[in-house]
Amino acid sequence: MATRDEKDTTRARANILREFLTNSDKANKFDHKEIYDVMDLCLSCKGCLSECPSNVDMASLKAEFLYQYYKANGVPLRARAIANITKLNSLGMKFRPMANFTLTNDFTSSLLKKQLGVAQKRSLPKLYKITLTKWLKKNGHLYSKGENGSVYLFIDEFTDYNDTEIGITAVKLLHRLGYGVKWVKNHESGRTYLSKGLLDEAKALANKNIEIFKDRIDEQIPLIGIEPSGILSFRDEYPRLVDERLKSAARRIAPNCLTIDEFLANEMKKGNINSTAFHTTSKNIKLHGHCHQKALSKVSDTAWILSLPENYSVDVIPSGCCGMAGSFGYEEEHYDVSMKVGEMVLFPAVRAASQETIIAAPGTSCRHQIMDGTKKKSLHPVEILYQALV
Amino acid sequence: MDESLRYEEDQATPEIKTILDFSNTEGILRAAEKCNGSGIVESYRDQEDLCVRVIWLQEMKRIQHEQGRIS
Repeated sequence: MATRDEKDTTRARANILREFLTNSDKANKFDHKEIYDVMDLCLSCKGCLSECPSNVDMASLKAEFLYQYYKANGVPLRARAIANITKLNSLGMKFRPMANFTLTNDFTSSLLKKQLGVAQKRSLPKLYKITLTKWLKKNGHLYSKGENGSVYLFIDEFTDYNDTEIGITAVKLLHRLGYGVKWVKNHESGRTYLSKGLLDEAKALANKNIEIFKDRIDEQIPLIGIEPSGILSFRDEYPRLVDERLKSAARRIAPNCLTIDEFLANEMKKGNINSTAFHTTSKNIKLHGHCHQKALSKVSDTAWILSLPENYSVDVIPSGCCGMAGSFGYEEEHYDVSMKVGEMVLFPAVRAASQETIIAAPGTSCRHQIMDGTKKKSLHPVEILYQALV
Repeated sequence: MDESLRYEEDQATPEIKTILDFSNTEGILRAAEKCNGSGIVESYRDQEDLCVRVIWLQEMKRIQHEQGRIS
């Protein structure tokens, strides 16, 4: 849509796959550069899954294509680095001051970006002083019991290393609202591997996470996640990716794996959380939903929870993908398209918002894109609700 | 236009092994066919808008019959 070129449409991606998968004479029918070129600008936003009546998830087709294509052609350095960002972050935490200096200093970050093929105009996410896992090890026992029930918190890789403050705020918010927050050391969601087509690694992580949660999660104790693209992999990709022996467990727990927005909305609708928990100050909020939330969940849940404080007014921005789409917008050759996508609806809406208006965005890469594109800080809904508590 | 993206009569659809499970569309190739409108896979993620989709699928079948793309 941003390029107005037929080659870059979802239809073109389906057509090129159909042509080569039907007619290729190669043993690996995916091994064609032509498919790679046409797939290149797919944001893996999953918009096609919900917006088109065919309901085909092109992101999954792209992931499978990349997986098969890389088998024949090798995985490029940048794709490997992005997919393994959690391992790199884990290493970076051991030398955090140096790592953050490298990520933010003009000279060193420029070298790093050049080496990895990352757009020079992008800022790189910094490492927080403590991981969420480590914070929970120290403080988790203070928040483990609640009069309204319990939840398990899924510690996704983005919240663990970069958005740790949001994770801590989520734990405190849930506890203040009467919920005990349980946690167990889980594995990363595998989103970075899924988006880069490194599906063996994603499958191994999916297997491990299902093993961990299959006997812990049910209707009474759901698994909730802060970053939509992390937790929603339990509902979307895991049941299609795990070993055969874990498929029924993955399908069984999937309905009880919720974004924190969904969980809070459900509890508010049941009357377990009401507006008296929040102050009555007036605030205007503009909300940008995450792509995977739009495809697999509902932005209306986020709008609902943000509207619960009596004088909070929420305006949902009619945006599609923010343009960042995980790592897509970081990539040098994709930067301009990424910004074009942002300029379609999201950036103008954010710029038009008054200084006092709060910009809400549940997705980590969406918040990053909003910052890079408009220089405005946006907040995760849990931060807004925590600030609204009386 | 005349050569690409066309099917021969009685052409078999290749079975393609994938790591992701595409069984709900009978394989990745049929998912691609479903996406570009050249194939019909009558499976539904939910029943909510079944009627709408049935009408849409019937319409797609009619169009494809007229274009001679499926027998």
